[in-house]
Amino acid sequence: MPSIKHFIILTLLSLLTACVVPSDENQPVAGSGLQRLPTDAEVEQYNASVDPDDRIVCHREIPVGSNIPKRVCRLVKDVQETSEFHREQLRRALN
Amino acid sequence: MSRSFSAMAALISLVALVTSAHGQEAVISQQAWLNNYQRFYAEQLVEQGILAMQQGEFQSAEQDFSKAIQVVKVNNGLHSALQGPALSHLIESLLAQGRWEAADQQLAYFEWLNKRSYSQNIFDYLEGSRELSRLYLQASAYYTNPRSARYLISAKNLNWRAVSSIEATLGTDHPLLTPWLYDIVLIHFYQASLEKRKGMTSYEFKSDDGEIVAGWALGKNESIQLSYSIGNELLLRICSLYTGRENASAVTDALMQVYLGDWELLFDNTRIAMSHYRNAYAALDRSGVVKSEINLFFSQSIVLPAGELAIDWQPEKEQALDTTVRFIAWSTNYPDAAIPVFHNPPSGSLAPEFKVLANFSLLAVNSTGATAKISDAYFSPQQLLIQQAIPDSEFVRELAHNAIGQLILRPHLDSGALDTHDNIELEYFFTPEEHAMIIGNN
Repeated sequence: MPSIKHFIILTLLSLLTACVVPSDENQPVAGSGLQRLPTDAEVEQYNASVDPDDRIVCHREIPVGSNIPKRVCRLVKDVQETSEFHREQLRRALN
Repeated sequence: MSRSFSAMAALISLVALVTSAHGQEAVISQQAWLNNYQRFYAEQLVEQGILAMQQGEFQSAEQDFSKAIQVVKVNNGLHSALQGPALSHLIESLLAQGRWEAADQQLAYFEWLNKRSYSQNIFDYLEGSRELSRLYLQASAYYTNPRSARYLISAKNLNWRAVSSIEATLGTDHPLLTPWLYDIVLIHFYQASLEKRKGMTSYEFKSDDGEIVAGWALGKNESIQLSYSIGNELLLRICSLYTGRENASAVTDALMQVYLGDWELLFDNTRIAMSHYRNAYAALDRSGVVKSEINLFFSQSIVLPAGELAIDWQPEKEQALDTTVRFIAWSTNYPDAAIPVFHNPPSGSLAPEFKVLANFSLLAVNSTGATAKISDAYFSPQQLLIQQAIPDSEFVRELAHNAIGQLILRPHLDSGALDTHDNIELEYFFTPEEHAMIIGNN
């Protein structure tokens, strides 16, 4: 009986520690030359000086296959192009 | 021959006469034209316009300010920065008339003019930006202005550009940065206040002409959380700017902890706020400040957020403990915010003559006498009583009761622990929109 208890506690502990694994937000972004993702204030400062299309948006996303939210930053025009691409794909699939 | 000669001479003299008459007319008209555009007229016209504004004659004021701008352009050139003061007043007169489109054009012109000064003199640029930011905030405060949220974002973006320009020219740790950063913190408080009330999604990613750029908008909670996070980040940056200075002191550091606590409190993080306040208390104690002075500091009633950063320990200022707290409400758009410190009262509109005198407590124990537990009772007015109202009516008292009840105050601490403070007196001045409502109701 105690072994089952220990097993449950160990399982719960491993789940809990999985949730507190530091996210890779502050790790270098491969290929981008950036040392880390910009902070919210840095993004806002950058956005204030560029054209609307060149602005960056950052938010938390839960990637497929994981329950741990990850902060991602994208250019507004990339978001727009991706949305347009998906809309086009959907249009084609429906026709 | 002689006849033809005399005829020719007569013709020449006639032509000369006509030409000279024309010449005289031209000189006279040029003088008259110049008289209308004498340099000093600009100042006279601006003064005349200000008087007209004070009397509520906005259209006449608008004409005076427009003429003043023309005079400056004639004398100093089309792009002269000297048209700035007249242009500011012109925008105020247009806003007071509710002529949003015309005001928008003039704001865009001001922004264009200000951008030109950046390459010439950074300090002129910063001065222009300060004034423009004030005008954007003023435009955003008009409840009926359909672009109020956009102007708030414009003010914030302008402040960010000022920060970038200081960083680029004077350095990333220049002391000039702090007021600009703190103003951005305040704008985030206004933004969160607007979002909470209107359930507005973020305007961040809208283009400057009001179109949605990518159909991208943050949810209400996400947007409020972002404002909190940026505000916190900027306050920490201000802390590090002060810490990095040669004359950095433990007292300044402790006072910054108080501002961090205020920010947490405004976003309902009461436990973190209390921890900042206690840390500040302990740090002041450690740095050798007399306990009675620290207690005096934490006995002040301050409506949050504080309008400006005060990071010098000035005990003589804190002596005004029993004086009445004055709160000039800014706008119905931002119901829990006081009028920004660098703002004039809304130009030409109703002066803040309608007010109430209220009395309330900040409690360390709840009404049942139970042991102190961190709750709203410490931070928002309890047992609120309206003592006096101008004009006195049930409607005015109820309006004031609701407005004052929403305010958040810095908690009182005694020896680092939460303290009860009874009988806090507050003079509340209504917003221009509330003035109009009161007049309409009477």
